Amino acid sequence: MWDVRLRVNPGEIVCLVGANGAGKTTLLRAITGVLPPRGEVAFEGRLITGRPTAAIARMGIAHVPEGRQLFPAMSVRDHLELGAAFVPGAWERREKTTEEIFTLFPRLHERQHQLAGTMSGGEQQMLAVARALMARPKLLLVDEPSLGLAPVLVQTLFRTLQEINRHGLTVLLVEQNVRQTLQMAHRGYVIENGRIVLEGTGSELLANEHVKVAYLGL
Amino acid sequence: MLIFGVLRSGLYSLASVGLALSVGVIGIVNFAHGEFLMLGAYMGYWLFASYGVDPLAAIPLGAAGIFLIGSLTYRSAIQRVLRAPELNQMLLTFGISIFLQNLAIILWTGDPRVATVSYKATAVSLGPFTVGLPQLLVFAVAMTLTLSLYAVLGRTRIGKAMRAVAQNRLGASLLGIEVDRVYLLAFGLSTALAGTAGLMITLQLSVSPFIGLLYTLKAFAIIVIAGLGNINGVIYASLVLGLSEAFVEFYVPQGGGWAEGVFFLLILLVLLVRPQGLFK
Repeated sequence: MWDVRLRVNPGEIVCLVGANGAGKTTLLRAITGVLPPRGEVAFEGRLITGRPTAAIARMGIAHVPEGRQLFPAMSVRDHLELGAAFVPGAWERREKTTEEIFTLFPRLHERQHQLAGTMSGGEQQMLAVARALMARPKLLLVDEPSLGLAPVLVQTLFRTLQEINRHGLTVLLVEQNVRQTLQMAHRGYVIENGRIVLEGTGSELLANEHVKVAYLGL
Repeated sequence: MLIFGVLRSGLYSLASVGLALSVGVIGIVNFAHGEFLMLGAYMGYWLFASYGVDPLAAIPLGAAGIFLIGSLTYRSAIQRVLRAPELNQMLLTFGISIFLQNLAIILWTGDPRVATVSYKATAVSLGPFTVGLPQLLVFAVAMTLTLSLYAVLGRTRIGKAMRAVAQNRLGASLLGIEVDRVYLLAFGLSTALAGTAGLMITLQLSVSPFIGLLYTLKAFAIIVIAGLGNINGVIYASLVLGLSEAFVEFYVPQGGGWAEGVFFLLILLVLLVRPQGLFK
């Protein structure tokens, strides 16, 4: 990756769009230390470059990773509990957070005793987001939540993300589903071959000629 | 016969559940597992011979001691091969096994030693059956400890974290779980469980530097029968092994000797017929 300069302000939904292999997932992984970053990553004014993933998670950055990375033989309840278990402050508030999450995702409430491995793709994606939210993060990184989901479910999920954002959560969303994402985001970045080629507000990018041709098929 | 098989399976569960933990959580096939059991047995023997501590009363101290030795082994050796090819990992643990065995020979000679507790020959009647008190005590304590481990894994935060790490390392670390510390804990616990089984062996059998290998092999048989990584199946798999051995002892002429080889046959059968394990 080169020349990547990306900023997420508190309270924003920022999206990062681009084609397959453009480097979106790599960028998220560099932020949470899953991959060693060459460059600098700062969170709340402090450099977090090179810190272990678990330490970054405990600082308040929750990452909904590509492929969801759930625990197939554990129940929905166990996932939610683990989401809160090791983040300072989250454990004490787990009951309340769980209730809020069951309001956001009634489906997970119905399935709270089901094992993650036996759930549908859409339910698993909801669980992955819910598990991350249990940490009461300050920043939520979401990697391609729409992958493999039916369009109706994508809409539901996006609406949920917007609602969570209205409650004050900052979101960095990586997506290939460009139109819907840009409609929802406050600001966006377009990444191509490991470089950020465009940035602007969601509506600016939607109106941009390059975006129209390359990503919206207009 | 049944009752002997069942009683024996208690110790087998405890001796092998640690190996299942090591394989299941860390993915390390520890060939030195039996040597930690042997160290535990010597600890039991010396505490008894020098200070008159009953091996069962020595469990907390012995378990803590072996936990420490196991943790040091993890930090100094195992940790370095986590990403190495499996062959390297096996060679390393095999080396640790040889090292510990020879260390025991140097420190305590190769002579078998016997701890004769006062109730060694005491028998109790269970309804129509008469069984040795040591056997009964060992079964009860071993089962209690194994079931407590299940409870820890099933109910507590740290136990769930261990299962989470076993199922998805990346997913777990993104939740703030320190994978390396979970591994350290799992390995220490794994060796401590083996050590505890060793402590209890001193109630029934003699202790020598060479007792480890047989238990490593039997523990392997049990985790293969249970299905690799299936910790909950260990109790049932131990029962299968315990009962099969008792069966051979009773019904095969000169079965006492043959019984010790039953686990080979079971590994073979399970791998041929149901390689994913009987209880998975």
